[in-house]
Amino acid sequence: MAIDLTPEELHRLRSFFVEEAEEHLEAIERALAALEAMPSDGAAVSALLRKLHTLKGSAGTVGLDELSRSAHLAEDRVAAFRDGVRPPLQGEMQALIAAIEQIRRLVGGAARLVHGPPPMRTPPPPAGASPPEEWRGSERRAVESGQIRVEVEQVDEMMEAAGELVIDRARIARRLIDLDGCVRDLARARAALRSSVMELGPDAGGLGEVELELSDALAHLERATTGMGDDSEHLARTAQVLEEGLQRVRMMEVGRLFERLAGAVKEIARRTGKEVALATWGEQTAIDKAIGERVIDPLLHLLRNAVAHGIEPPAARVAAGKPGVGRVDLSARWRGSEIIIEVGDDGAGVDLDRMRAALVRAHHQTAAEAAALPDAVVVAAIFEHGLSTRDSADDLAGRGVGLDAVKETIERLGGAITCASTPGQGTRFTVRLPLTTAIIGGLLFKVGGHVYAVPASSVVDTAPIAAADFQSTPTGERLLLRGRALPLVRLGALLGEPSPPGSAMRRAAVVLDHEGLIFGLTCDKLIGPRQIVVKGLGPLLSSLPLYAGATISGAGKVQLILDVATLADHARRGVTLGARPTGSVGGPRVLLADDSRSVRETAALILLQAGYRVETVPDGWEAWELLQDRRFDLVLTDGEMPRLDGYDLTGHIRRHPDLRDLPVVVMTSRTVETGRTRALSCGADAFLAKPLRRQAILDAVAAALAAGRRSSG
Amino acid sequence: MDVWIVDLDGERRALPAGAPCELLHLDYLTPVPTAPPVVRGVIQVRGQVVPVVDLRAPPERALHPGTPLVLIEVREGLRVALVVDRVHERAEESTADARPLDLAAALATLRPPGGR
Repeated sequence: MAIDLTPEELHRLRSFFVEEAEEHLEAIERALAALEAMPSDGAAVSALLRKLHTLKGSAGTVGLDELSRSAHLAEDRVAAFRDGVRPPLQGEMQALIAAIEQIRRLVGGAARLVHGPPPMRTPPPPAGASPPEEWRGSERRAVESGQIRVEVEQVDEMMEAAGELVIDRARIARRLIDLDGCVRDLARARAALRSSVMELGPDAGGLGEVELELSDALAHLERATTGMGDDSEHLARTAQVLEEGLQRVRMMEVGRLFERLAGAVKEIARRTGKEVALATWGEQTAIDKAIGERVIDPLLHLLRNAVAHGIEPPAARVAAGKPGVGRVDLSARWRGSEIIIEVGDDGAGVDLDRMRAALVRAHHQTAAEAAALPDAVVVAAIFEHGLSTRDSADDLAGRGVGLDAVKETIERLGGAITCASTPGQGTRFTVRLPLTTAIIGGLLFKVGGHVYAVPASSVVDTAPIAAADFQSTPTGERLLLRGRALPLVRLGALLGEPSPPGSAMRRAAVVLDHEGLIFGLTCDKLIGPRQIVVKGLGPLLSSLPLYAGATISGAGKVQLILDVATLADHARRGVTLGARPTGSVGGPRVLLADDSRSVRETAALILLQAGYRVETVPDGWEAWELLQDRRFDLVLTDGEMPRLDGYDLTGHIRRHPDLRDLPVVVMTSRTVETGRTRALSCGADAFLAKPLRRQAILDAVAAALAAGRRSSG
Repeated sequence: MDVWIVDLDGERRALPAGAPCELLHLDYLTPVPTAPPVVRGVIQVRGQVVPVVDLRAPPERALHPGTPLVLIEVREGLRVALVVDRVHERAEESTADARPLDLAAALATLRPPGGR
């Protein structure tokens, strides 16, 4: 009976074990069949040995001691002829088959314990119906309990389609906004036509009828647009349900694996007389179920090694000046297209002398060559086949079934494993696994006018901040938030983006947690949480440590996803290195606001061609928001716009302490005299009559900029 | 074999023969801070993220919406959008006076800026 586990914990662990054991049994039987067909099949012998070894360890961990002993016995039988480097004798083969038969009975017994009695055999399919090609036991049981098995590839296809749906939906929403703009443009044109008809009176002729037809068409268009808006909302909800459902099918939280592993660590520590505290991070990281199930064994092996061989006995630790309780940590995080799982310990580290001796023993090296090898190369050799630094055949980690098998399993999953070790301080294994599903929760925010994201799983808090919330300390800047002084990363500086002017501007902080390090990240403006489809940055840019990937907004813009581990490094160092300033070096920055798309695009093109940098927005409100985020040299705005018109926008700008000197040019299609009067009375520097002419725009903008420079010195 | 001829810094250049190419026009460019300088940013092409590579001599020129880009598959798995001055009609042009552009070699020398 495993100690320190509650009956509920044990039951849950055993149900995981049974699932796992059935897979191992299948593999064992395949290897056995291969060995029967070709008794000299060395690969089959290794596979058999490895699977039996794992089964033995897992069974022992969940307190199924008889099963563990049987697996040990079977392992001994295989080891007998493996160590003899010869094919099995007939008697040995029979004994092995009997031992495996015994294991199968015991696994069956454990399964009954966990699931209740096994179901009766399925009746033969009715005549005419063709039975499935492979109708194995586990599938039969699954069907009867109301579950179905689905090919992983099929789920992947659906996930991909759901991801595209998210993008498509956002695109439709964006087009609806454009369509609304068109409706407003048309309504305005119709109003102008109507007033012309009124003025002309009898001279209008057929124009009156044209105006009526236009009215009808406009009303129709408005109804259609509203209906489409409702449809789009509905589509958004459906897409979300679909996406979340599929995500649940395909993904599991890594915490489920960690629970199983934590139980095992306790058990191993008990058996080896070690005192170990296990710390885990990143339990919410989602991992593909199929990969999660297969990565359990390698992780279990790494943890066993950490406890059995890494952590020293309490007395040795105290003698070395370390705390008597060893520390093992297990963490998971997501980066780009990978899940990174790390297993670390603060034990003795890889014994480099023994490793060098083992390299010599394995005839890879002469003693002199081994001595000359860099330590990192010696540590990396830990994954080599047959290189074991421990000879004892204890039942925790022996028999040469070592890290080569761990590496092989991880590479088969498309992943990679590396090891780093410092003598006396500990060992850390880093496992990288491919992320097969690509929708994550992200928190979006703006820096320097561009949108960035971080994985929502790392976010612990967000808050508005002011200048008074910063504190300088000898070890770097701190952010005072809810009574705590947090290490700080100024994202604007890190990204080389100019900060908006003035300390009175609204700013925000995102508080992140990376493996226990809580730190703040400043940004210009929070946008909010979104489900985002993760894309890779491609081979040219994937080596940039700052980014974990990218996502694509509804408007088709690429938004970068920041890597939390790299941000944490910056926070730890307490310095934010300035990056290369980005964006094109260019002319003055113009903010252009107009609710007519055609005006926006025409005016933007004219200004761009003249060397200005231009940002466009569809109304005064968005212009006002953008002015909080970014520094502009001039505002060119339409007079009449929804939400906040150009005259009120100008008034806001004139009343704002940091913006009041910003040059503003107002465009309007009102009659020249009323437009001019209104524009100038609310504080605009210049006035432009529509329709716009190229030269008039350029002259007015240049004059306003020149005047602005003079007045601000 | 299909060869694309483009103008780059006022010079006629032949893009790698056989590499799948497509003409695009810049819409929205997302800058990528800390990227090598010739990578001006990234764009999305049919849901994938593609780096925009500008091999023209400095000083960096502003990239306007509408700037012509040639989407090239440099090798399996590596697509870039190359900034060009203009693209020539392929059918009518002779490749004789166009200097070949070895894009793979130009990209191979790219390293993320050091010292960080």
